[in-house]
Amino acid sequence: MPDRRDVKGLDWSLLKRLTGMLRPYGWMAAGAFSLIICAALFETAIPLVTRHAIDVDIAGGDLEGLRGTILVFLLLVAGGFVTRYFQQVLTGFIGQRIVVDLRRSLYRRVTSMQMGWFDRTPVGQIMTRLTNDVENLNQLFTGGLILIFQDILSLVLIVGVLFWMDWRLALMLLAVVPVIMLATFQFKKLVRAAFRRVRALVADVNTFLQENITGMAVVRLFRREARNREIFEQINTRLMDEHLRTIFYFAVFFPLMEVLGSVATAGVLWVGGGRVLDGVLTFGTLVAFLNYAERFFRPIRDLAEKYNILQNAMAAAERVFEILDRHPTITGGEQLLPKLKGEIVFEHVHFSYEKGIPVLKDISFRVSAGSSTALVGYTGSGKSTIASLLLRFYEPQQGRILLDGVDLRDYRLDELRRRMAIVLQDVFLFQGTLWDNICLGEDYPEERVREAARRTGLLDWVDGKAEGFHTEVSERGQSLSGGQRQLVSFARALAHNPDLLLLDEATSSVDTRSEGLIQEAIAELLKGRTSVVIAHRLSTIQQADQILVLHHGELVESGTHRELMDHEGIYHRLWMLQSRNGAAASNGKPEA
Amino acid sequence: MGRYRGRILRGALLVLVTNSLFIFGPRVLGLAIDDLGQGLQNHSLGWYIGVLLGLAVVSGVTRFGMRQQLIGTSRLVERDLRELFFERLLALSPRFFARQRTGDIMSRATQDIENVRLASGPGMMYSMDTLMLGGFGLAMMLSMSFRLSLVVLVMLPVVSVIVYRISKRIHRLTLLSQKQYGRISSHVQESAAGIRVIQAYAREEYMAGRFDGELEKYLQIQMSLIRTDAAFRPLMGALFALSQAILLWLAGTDIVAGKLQLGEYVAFSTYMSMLAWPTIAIGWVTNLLQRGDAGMRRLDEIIREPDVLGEGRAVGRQGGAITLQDLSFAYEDGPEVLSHIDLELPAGSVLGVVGETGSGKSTLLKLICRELEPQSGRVLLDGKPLAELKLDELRAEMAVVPQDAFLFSETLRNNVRFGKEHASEEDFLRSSEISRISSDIEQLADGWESAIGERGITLSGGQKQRSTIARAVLMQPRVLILDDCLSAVDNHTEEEIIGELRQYMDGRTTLIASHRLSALRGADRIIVLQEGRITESGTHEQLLEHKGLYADLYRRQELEEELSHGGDEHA
Repeated sequence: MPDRRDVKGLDWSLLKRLTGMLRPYGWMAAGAFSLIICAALFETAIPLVTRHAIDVDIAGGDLEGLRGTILVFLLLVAGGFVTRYFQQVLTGFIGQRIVVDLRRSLYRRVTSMQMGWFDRTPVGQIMTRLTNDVENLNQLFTGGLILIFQDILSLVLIVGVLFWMDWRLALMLLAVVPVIMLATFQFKKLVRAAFRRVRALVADVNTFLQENITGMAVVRLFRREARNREIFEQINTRLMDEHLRTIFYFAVFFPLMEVLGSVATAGVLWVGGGRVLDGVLTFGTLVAFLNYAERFFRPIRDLAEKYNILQNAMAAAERVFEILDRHPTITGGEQLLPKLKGEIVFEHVHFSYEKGIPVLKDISFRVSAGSSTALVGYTGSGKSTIASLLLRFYEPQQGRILLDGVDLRDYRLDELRRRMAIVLQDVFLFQGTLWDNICLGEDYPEERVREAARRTGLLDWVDGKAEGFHTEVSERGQSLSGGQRQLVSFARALAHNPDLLLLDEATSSVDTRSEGLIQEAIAELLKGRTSVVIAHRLSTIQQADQILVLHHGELVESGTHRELMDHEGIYHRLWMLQSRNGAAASNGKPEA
Repeated sequence: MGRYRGRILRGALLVLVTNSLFIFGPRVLGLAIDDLGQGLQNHSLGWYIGVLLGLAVVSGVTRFGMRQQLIGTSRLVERDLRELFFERLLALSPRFFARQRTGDIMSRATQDIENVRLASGPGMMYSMDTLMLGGFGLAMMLSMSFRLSLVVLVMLPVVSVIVYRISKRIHRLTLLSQKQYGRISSHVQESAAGIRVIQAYAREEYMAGRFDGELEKYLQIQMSLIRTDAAFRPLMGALFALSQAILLWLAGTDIVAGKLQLGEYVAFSTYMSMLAWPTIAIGWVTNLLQRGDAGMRRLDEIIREPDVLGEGRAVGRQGGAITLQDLSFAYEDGPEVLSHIDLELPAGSVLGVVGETGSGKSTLLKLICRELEPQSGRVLLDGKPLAELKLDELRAEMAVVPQDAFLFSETLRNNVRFGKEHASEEDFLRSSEISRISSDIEQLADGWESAIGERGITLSGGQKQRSTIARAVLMQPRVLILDDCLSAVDNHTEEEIIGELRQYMDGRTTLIASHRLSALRGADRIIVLQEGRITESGTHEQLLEHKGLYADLYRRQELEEELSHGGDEHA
């Protein structure tokens, strides 16, 4: 994330929209604000009580009065504690609820977006929106707006009391404020810039380390140990130097603040002391002044910090709203879908992912209910796109697709997709158990899942595992072999018992044992339902009721195996190759 | 840490000076007030103010020095630790890396080093500061009034224990919250990466429901954190106010009775608020030191890890003949991946290695370049066992192109020059010519200087593989090992590269493992591995004759290539 975008000026319309998010929690927010006011009043009153104790009770030798005053003092302290506590819990709660609301709607919006949006939007960016950006926004509610209000309120109250007590002393104290503000802003500016450099260097150090650990074999094989150590030393030292610079800033800033505080105290003593001698100022007031002086500087220092939070939150808000304001372009119709016969008709379908680069050109074909269709063609011929269009991942630019005689766009999207199942070339497994990955959260009876696993040849392996279906699939399914991953995705499709099956056969090689299992599983999957298969295996092609041959986005041949053989086109060429090989390697393996 | 003893001593001295100066401030203030009450009999107002300011300025300067010295030291320590850590990593054996997850090593390098740093810098500084300020403050108070000091003596330990407990709880909750945050972010990551499956099965609501569950858990943790935090500071404030109230009562009665001056009360009350910070700090610092200690122990596990890479002393460049004698290998606790492999490879010959996924091809090649070490049997280079060779010499003789084309976040040029930084421009260009990467470079805006990786460009799989081939070729090794490194390169280019390599490899021993058998046709000898054993061996023609697995695979591939790639010829 470029740093420049993180910082933004105040945008009032954005701020309005953000405060609008407080609306569902209006009463709580009002409660939090009243608690803040109470707490500020309590806390500001305490030094005044001390003043009363010194000037009236102690000076008058009235121990009875002193006891009463101390009681008031304690009540104020207790009041401050209770209001502070509830205020913080309340604001924290509001902030957290807003975060949950935001993440929920963001997540729902993101997962309903059309596939084209995902093609353009990197995963990392989506993650940043839902995590960091929302977190920054939370800062605005819990740390930003409310604390700014609180700081300003206590400043106003303290300044008010100071002027009420003695305007000359108050002015004396206020004289230090510009110096503190100036120093603070200067400090924050330097530190922010330094932290940015530190962050970049930390990232450098960690990337280097991470890469050297994962690539340790390469480092060794190419004899880079000494040189890499040298490089590491360099970036490491650069990071340290940057750190030392920030330490310098801090080492100047904090003591400087203390010195300024002492200057203020000395100032109060100087002016106030004279006035005590003149008899116009009581001791109690002087002590109260010294007390207020201490409370006075913190809010000023904090305000600079708050402004920063506000800026970050604004930039984050803008990015978050950008997603919330975007609506999915592919939505469903009203038509319900109890049971699908599975008749598919493509009518003059044109499609391109990018303008000017057509992927499908005027495709028309019909798949009758219950039949199997194989799509054959070279990489990039548009086979996979046909499956994507059927699932309405994308929308054709021209032409239409009918399913059981109804335009796809008229079906409810979730119903439509629920009646189909797709098996993708790259199997995607979620973190969780095998069971989770087969059912995907559907509440299937165990028998159904076992049956699906049995028919796809997965059951023996699953039963051999200590935890059976509850075996955890680790990080993106890495603990399973390629063949096993395939079988899991087959079982997933079979368990959903779709009316229409879309299968993108995997091309990547798996070991021979799995290969055989996969062949059998595919036959089992296709049995008795409408299917469209993007075929890479000749066995699947041969058995299809209909074969469609795609070439550069056009449907060039279609028909049964017999018809296509007579046609002597691309398919015929492929087939001749197969029979020649079949003869050469005829070890009782008819499929290749 | 010993090397910074000087810095630490200087720092400690400065802490001492700072606090002893700082401690007189309130006393002077109190004296000033009392003097005021008596009409300034002792000194003028200006004198008091001058002393106050003087103390403030001098202690400000020493405080600056103390931060510079002590916190600065911790950054030096951090750098040294990180360097030592990296140095040790470089020495550890591949077994170690197979055992340890990268994430775990990284968390030691980041989190644990940070914990040690926090303990050795801020932890040390604040504990010195706290002890001295606390000690001086108490001494001052005791010197003024024992009765009043009792308030502080009672309050101090109570507050410290509370802080210790609460900050421990906050730390624990923070870790929990970080973990849950990680789950949220990996759920999002997974949803975005697996969006096709989610949408195809219409599982958006289910996934959203699971997401809500994670959010709810996060909310719970955050709320306990917020509640603890919300109680913490007001509670501290209340406790200090309570002690101030008690002080006010005791002092008030004393003043009324004439036993105490008003100024003394003011000084006392100022000392009390001055002690507030050290009291809180004790609890906090204790936690810091504990975490630092735990971090150091975790770091030590790696720094003292005994499983380092061994090497022999033998040197000398020779022909590059390779002999495998009764070689067997199994990964930790796994079944045997290779069993009893014998092979004789004359210098300068080309060996093709064929086998299905999991047959042991990569393992065999990794044993030959000593990336792995065999459980039994041995590998000889020109008649000398690998373990007896100096590692540096061995690696100078061999160049490997590994299966996963691993590149570093560097410029492309530096990646290719990785093994030979000072190669001549001529050699450099030649190697990129052989690997057919040079034509791609012209299309990149920054050419050879293009940065790769997160903050740079993303190369295609084929481009990465060709870059790694260039990297190995530039080494001009005597033995070249190619581990299935052309899988993402298209057929035509693959053939070109193989052609180029054939010339280049003339006179060098070459081992090629490949899924694509067409790449191996010209090899002097091809071996077929099945379940860790050599089952077929011979030239391409001999193996076709043999009609075994090789012939079978070869036919099938011809066909599949026709099916999925042949279209290029029609275009």
